[in-house]
Amino acid sequence: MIGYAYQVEWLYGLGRSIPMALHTAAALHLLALGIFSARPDQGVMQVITSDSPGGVLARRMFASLVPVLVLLSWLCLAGQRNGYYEPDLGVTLHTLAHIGIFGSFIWWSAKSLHRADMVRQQAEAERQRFFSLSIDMFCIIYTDGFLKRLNPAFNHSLGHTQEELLARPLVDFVHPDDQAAMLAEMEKLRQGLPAVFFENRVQCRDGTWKWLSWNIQPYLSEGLLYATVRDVTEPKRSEKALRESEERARWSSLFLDSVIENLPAMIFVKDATDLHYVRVNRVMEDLTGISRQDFLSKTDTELYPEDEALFFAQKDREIVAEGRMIDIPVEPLHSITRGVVLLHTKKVPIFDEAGCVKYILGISEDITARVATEREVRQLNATLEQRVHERTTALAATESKFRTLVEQSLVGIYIIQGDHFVYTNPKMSEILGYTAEEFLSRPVPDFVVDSDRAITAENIRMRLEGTAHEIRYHLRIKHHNGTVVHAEAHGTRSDSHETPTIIGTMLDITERKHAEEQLTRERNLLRTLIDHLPGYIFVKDTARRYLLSNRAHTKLLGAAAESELTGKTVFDFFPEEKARRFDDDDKLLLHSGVPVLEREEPFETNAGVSWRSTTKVLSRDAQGGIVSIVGIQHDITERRRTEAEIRVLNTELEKRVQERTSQLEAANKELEAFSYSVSHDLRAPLRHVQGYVEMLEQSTEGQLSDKAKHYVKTIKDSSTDMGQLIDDLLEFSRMGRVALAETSVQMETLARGTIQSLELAVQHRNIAWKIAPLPRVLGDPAALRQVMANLIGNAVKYTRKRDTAEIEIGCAGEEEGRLVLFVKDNGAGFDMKYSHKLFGVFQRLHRAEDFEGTGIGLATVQRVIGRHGGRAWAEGVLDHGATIFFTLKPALAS
Amino acid sequence: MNSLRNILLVDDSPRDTEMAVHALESCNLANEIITLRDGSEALDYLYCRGEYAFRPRGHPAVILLDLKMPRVDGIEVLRQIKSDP
Repeated sequence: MIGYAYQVEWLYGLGRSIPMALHTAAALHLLALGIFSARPDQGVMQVITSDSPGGVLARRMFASLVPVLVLLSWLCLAGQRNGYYEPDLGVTLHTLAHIGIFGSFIWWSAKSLHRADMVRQQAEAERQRFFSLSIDMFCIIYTDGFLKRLNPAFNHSLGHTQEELLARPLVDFVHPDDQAAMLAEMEKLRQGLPAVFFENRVQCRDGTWKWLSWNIQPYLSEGLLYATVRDVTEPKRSEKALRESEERARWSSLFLDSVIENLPAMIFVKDATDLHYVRVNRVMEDLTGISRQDFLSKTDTELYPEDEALFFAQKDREIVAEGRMIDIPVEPLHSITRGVVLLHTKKVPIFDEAGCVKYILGISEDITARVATEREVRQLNATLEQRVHERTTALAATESKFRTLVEQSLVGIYIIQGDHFVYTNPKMSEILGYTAEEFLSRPVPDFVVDSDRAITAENIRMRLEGTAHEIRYHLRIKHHNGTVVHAEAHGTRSDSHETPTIIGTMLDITERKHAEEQLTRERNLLRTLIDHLPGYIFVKDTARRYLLSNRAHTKLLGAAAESELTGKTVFDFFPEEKARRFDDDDKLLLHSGVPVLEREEPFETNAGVSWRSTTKVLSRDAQGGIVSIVGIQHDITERRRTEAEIRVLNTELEKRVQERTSQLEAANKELEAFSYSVSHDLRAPLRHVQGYVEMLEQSTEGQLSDKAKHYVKTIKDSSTDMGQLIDDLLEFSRMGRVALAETSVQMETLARGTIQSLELAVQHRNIAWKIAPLPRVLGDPAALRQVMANLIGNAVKYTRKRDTAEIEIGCAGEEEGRLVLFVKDNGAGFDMKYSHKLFGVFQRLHRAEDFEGTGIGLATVQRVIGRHGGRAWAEGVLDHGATIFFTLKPALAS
Repeated sequence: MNSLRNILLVDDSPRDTEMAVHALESCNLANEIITLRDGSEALDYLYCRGEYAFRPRGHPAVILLDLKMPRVDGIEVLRQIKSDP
């Protein structure tokens, strides 16, 4: 087009080729312009068509400069071709026109641009101020999520610096739960949604979270999102708080309802003005048997019997009047379903804001069962108390029993705490001589002898510390009087006391100690005796092993010492056969218990046959259990020999004695028969002599001369003497032959009887009788009467020459279980050197002229007493009297 | 006379009998004294046998009896009297 306008063929012919037509060039021009204007908002056209000052300027310059420059260039070219001026001048003029036009255009542009810029800067500054001042947050976000720009409100609100917020994607600051939602919203924007609104939590610099409300609009052409953000934390919080408070109110109302309904107590609320029920709970319905609907808006008067209703109303009025709670411990209520129910009621006033009682709240507990239970419990308690009392009494009795036991114990009992006694019983005082106060006043070891003090203290310590629970030991204690008491203490730690305590007993073993010493001495003595006895002595145990052997026995078995024997048996010392016999012997003894007593048996020895006497007995303990076999052997060889000799001699002697005895017996019998028959047969002629002399005397009374009378008298006296002699002999003989009875005889009665029978003979005598109480004896009454008659007769006879005769009959004690009786006189007495003759037949110590007598009386006495098993003897001094003693068995007390 | 009972004297010795009769007479007793010589006579008398079968009935007031006599002695007589109720 330019080529055509300037008529330069080169331009539109393109060298040697065919030149382009004008309308083709114009069409090409139009095509190019159309292409440019097809998409005015894209590419190069975007800048030109934009509303920005650049676009305006460009459009203006295009519109004005293109035609100006084309025109100028044509004018210059036309001037030259027409030759108005030289080419040089043309070019210079052309350049000057350019400089002028462009220079003025630039100035105008600069001026308008400056003006536009100033307006823009002003607007920008204003915007910037608003941007900075806003409480709301503004920001520009790249579509990739990073912040491009933001206002200081962010910093104020969140605390992060601008740099920190720009350094990381925005989503990083968002609460993890909200991140996904935010990203989704952003994605929506990228997809072309014109705007989004959402809320999320963003973390502050101090770690807290803030609720932000986002309003974002995209400018996708810019690749930016514009957001206004508002802190809604506070509104959110107050909203939440409000919601929560509503929730709480609702919940507490629910809770209260639930509590009231489900409390086991009966609850009701009454209006304070007219006392009608406002509210009751389920328990109240159950208890009264009245339904909820029936209660509401009604008063007690309509619901309960009159007296009850009056009582309730009175209480209610009290509350209203006084404005304080009242407690009714027990009140009866008439229940429709349950009869009379006992209630424990508290009534509480509820005030309105003005402080007046608005409602009455009642809380009642059904105590019917509790009252019953309490009554039961009271009864149980009483029973329990009774039992406790009984038990206490029983315990006291037991305690008293034990105390008595302890107080009267035969064993010393003590309690130790620390190193002092805290209790000692009376027996302790008895054993050791101290009073209980003295015991308690000094430490325990003080009472002990010096040498035992350490061990005592140690033993007490061990038990108190618990290293030993129980100890038994011997110790010596100083008695109060200075002597030493051997004691056995047995103490046990008691765990039933708080402080460590020993309870112990103490036995006085002084006597036991002495006994032990005595025993040791006796054991030594016994051992010495056993060892030195001539016999062989051994002891075996129940298994028939030697336990003990004396020296002689040890030697007999061929052992050097006793120790070689102990534990061994007879089989170790004797040939089999003999040992078997001994052992069987021992077995039999152990089995039967029958001792072997002085069994004599021969033993073969080197020196010939040796006879030994063996005694084996069992030794038993106190319970009769067999402890050991004790054996004693004697060598009786010599004795046996002697015995054999004696036996021979004895046999001979016996034979001779027998012969002699039978001779004597025969002679005796003869003598007896002889003396009896002589006595009896002699008695008859003598009686005749006496009788006829008497008859002669009577028939010749007064006719005989004195001489004849003397002769007759002599015949009489002689025959009397002879009669007496014969009587005595008969008596003596009889006493030797008759069987004697054995009955209880009262000797005193016998003696007095005898004296009485002598009354006639002693009527002119002065006799002082002295008769002691005499015991009963065992014997023949007739024979003993004879004895007393003889003895008393003798005493009377031999004291005939005394002015005052003293005759004493008494008992002089006992001899070998027999009573010694005596008859004593102060008569003629006798010389003790003839005492052996006193009891012989016909033996007399006095002349017949002095004292008549036959010499048979005492012989008879001796014979009678002898036949009673006793003996008779005499003591006497010549001219000073005699005493005849005799012994008799005492009668058994009936 | 018959109301007074006899005294029976039994002794084999005539001297004793004489002395006894003398002694009894010296007492001036009114009773009749019957003397017998031995035990068998005494029993015959007491039981009215033999020689004394026809004597007047009645027991003696007293019997003086010697113990030692030939044939039947005094002890035997006494035993028989005592065994007879």
